[in-house]
Amino acid sequence: MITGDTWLEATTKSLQEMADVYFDIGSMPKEGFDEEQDLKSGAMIGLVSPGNSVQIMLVASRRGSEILAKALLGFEPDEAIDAGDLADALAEIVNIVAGMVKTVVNEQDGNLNLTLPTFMTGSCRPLGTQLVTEGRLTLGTVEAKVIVIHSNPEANAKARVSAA
Amino acid sequence: MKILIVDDSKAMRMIVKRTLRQAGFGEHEFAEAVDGANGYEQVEAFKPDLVLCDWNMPNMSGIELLQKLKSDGNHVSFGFITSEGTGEMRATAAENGALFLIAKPFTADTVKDALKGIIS
Repeated sequence: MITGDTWLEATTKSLQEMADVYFDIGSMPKEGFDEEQDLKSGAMIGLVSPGNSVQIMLVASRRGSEILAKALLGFEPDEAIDAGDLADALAEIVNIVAGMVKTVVNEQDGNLNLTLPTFMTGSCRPLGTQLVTEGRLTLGTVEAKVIVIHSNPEANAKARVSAA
Repeated sequence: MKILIVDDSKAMRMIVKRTLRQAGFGEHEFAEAVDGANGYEQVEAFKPDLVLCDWNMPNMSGIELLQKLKSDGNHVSFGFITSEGTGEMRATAAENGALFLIAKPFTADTVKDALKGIIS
């Protein structure tokens, strides 16, 4: 089973590589991320196989998400972005990154399939049978957070025993 | 030259067009399709010289579109631009007649290299 740290490292490196290719950092405004204050938004995608089940999430402030979406689409910083383009761009960021992560961990698990990427706002609450590994990063000029939610074999085993 | 971009993500269709312009192919005529099934219709209607296609899409995947075109006897130049670039996918793409598979993220240079000899 692939560990949370391995997923997090692969995701963080892939996000940085994606940003290096697509973002024009010189034209991006800076944006911090205060988890207590800011309304969070971002996108998530799953990588699933018989041996692994993981959700990768990219989270930033609402304004940070808009900056990331505009950077991906090549919009000017002061150009308006509608809700559809914002959701589509953030979903595409995690879709690109999930494909890169799949390639990185392919030798450990060659049966992974990607789920559909999903735009989200608000907070996430993992279930008791799930583990969370998370880290902060700066994408271009935007502070963001990567959250990896993956299955917890011990909790799943306990749940199976109590069900029996 | 007519180029059809098939991808269910509007963001990625925008990125592909922008990258083609950056790679020096901006003077060509572009059309877009939102999935494989729509791509199939657009191949009939737009009659592209080249199809740039995503792999994972609803309704009809990229590889299914390529196989359908081939079974129709349509041998339009076809390449994949996709999130996943495993060896297995590259082999499947080549076996089915795709000219290249570009894995995301891609630069203008990557696109220029892949299209060398296909687009003048």
